[in-house]
Amino acid sequence: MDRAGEREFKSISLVIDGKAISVPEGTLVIEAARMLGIEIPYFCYHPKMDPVGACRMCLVETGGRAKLITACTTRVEEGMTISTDSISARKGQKDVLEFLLTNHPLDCPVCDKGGECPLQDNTYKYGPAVSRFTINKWGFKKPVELGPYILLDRERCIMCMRCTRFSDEIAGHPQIGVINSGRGSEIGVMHGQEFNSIFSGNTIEICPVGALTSKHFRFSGRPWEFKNRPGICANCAVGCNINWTIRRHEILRVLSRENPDVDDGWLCDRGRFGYTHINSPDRLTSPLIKRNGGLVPAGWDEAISYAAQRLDEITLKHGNESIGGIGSPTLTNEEAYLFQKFMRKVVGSNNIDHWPKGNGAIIEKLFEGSSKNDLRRFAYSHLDEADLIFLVGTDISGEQPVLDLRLKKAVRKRGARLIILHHGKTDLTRYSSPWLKYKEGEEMLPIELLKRIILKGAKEEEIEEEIKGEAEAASFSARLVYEAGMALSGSRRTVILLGNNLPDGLIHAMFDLASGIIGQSGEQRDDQWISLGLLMGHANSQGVLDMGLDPDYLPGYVRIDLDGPRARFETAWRYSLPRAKGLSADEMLNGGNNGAIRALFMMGSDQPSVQSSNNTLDLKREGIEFLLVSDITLSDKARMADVVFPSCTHAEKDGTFTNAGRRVQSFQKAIRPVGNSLSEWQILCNLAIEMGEPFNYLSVSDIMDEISTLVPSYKGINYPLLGDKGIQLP
Amino acid sequence: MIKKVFKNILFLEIVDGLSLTFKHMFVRAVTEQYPRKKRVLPDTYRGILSLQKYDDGTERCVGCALCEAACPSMAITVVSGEDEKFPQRRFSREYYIDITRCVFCGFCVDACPVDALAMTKVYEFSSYDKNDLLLNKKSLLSLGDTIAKGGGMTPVERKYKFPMEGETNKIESKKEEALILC
Repeated sequence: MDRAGEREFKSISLVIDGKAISVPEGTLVIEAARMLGIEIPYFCYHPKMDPVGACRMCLVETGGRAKLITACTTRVEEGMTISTDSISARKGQKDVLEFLLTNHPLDCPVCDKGGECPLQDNTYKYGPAVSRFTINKWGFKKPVELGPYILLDRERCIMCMRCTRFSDEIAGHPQIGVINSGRGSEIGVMHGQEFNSIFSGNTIEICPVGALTSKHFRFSGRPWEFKNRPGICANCAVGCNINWTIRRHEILRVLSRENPDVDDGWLCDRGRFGYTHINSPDRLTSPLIKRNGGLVPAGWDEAISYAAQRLDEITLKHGNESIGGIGSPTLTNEEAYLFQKFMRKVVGSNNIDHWPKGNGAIIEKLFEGSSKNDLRRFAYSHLDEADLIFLVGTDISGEQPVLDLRLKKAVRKRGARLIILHHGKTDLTRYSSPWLKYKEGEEMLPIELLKRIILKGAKEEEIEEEIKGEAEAASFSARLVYEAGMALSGSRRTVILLGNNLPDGLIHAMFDLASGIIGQSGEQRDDQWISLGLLMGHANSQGVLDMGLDPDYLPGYVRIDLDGPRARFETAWRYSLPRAKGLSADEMLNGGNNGAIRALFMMGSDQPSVQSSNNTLDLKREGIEFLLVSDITLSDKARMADVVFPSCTHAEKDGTFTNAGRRVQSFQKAIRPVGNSLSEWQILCNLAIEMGEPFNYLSVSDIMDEISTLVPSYKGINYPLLGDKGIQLP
Repeated sequence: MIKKVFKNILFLEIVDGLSLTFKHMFVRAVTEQYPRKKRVLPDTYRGILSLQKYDDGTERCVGCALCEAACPSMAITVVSGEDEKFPQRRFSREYYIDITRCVFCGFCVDACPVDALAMTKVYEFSSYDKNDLLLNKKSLLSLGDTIAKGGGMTPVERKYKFPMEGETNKIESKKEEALILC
């Protein structure tokens, strides 16, 4: 490690097109030219992948060598003189293009890439105007179906091998490869196999020609008709940055928008192709009210006043505490904040929760009580520095796919050690040394053993004794646990990631273990740290917790039953908050907890992320007199409701999400709301006016300003500051 | 001065003017009796647009939307998609030309890579209802169908050579040669 660090300081000076530059040793010529702002055309080069020199497009002339060299595979040398626009370099580039175009069909008018195609652009800029190749072009049956999302047009392929390199080097799923050789080579999958990697969609984006096309997007438009608007993916808790491709207020495609601290420029297929619910014909376009047993469309005024009237009636009859609210973890921070404020202030009830719920609140409390600086809160960038990554009961590849790419990068490119504690085989277990497999539900045993090894200095033989008694539960040997324990205590920079649905005891045990390791060797090493994080399940699971969508906590994890901290909110909201302990989501969903809940307000949609997971909403209607739902489609819960408000998806509203790495990221409205749907915060403001306690918000940024004054970790955050890269919470 | 007075007394200007009128009694009339008689239009006349088919009846349009990109007055809207009859082939699912916006520049015809768009010599398409002037794919194809009856023309020729209804399709041989050479 140290040697590599030293090497980076050695700089090499060279001259490109008469301009001198000093770059670190090992830099590629094409990268050095880029630093100077000199453009060298290329197809196969990609900054995140190893150089291959497959397309030969980046030919440049160098002093002292007779032949042209490829700038993307040559590393800089001291005193090099490169010319990128000399006559022979230009001729080389032109001839390469002419060769590439001998078999490339000129079907640009019907090609999806036409208009945003590097081959087209480079041909205009560097290529010959006409081809001397008069023989018939290669003909193939097209297109070939590579996988569930991808079609391959072999005629258009120029064999840059970006797709095969991506799936091998970056995704770690070498499912596609080069078949045959020489001029007959083509991209393909093994017979009977398909390219079904969860990252397959990225190959469409990096393909420099129209060879790989998306089944969903194919033929649906031309690039010059599109608008690109930035957004945040809501399919899981990673919060990848995306660009919506929009034509006439319709989402046609999702592209990645590189944010080095979050997604590194990649997307998973769930995010890339999970946009169909936005422009779905099933979207609700107007509020619905239940009349004579059926839901009938109504106007906003009517629906809002009817809902407010029913809520008032039930409050008068059964008291404030008979009304409950359940939010979805896909609500934005502002909406979650406003929802709990609405329930606590306007309705006057602490029965406010979110569903599905993880156990993220525990770790927040644990960190609040700890004062160790070396025990860090997890941020994605820690994975880039870690020596050791310890995954406890989490299947990152399935739940947070893009984070899995970052993890693979750490393991494969930097040689970080991966230890996995999981009951089942995941995509990452093949990289782990060791993989501690346990029987589901018995995860406490390995943690206890690790504690004994690390904190009490137990020897391998003792562990062996211990396991003997529990032979059924443990399917790992004492050696493996001992090895893992030694690695954990010996590592300098460790990242520990916990799954979302682990028992509370395990989270406490892991926290004790981590602080134990820090406490043990804190004095000896200055640069040692452990980063501990709990990976949340849904788009804004972290945010709704921070915003106090929880019966026990106010925003910022302020206990509702403690008078002191609560006073701050009472002053800010000018209201005396309810004191009674609220009911949790599970209690409210289960038939209103034997009549304690008479009216239930379920806010936010389960799409996209909640629905795709294994959670099934189990709502019992008995005992609940009035069910108010806001959703984007007529989902199961909306069907049961008395009043349904149509709400916007995250492409149609402004807001912020806090991702699993606790980075707050903002997104703006990309398309106009479908039908008469409104954002949840607008619905809440309207309902609050009708119920006689109006809020004074003109936009979500007003709500964010209030949050930043009340929630300590969000202190100072506002929309201009968030920008397009977001802010990492402390 | 005396000359002027003399001229005025004799009304010589009137004689001058009437002489021209009198001369024109022996010159060929310029005015066309339009609705009854229709003029022969040049072959490059740019009238209403139409969509063309191949001889076997399949549509030429591949939905590339290059006409939409070329149109300076943004009169064309193309929605492309995959042809259900011919899978894996691009075609225009919907195609609209707002002819009230069209400036008849012919850029779209030039941009078309498959010669699917053509300009006809039809100029009689005024309507009481503006909605009639938003041409959809069906009406554009039927315009192409009814007018392209002549047959025997290459796609390049067909682009500009539709005879106007009622027009005697008199083509000067020189003009035709020039067009084919183009």
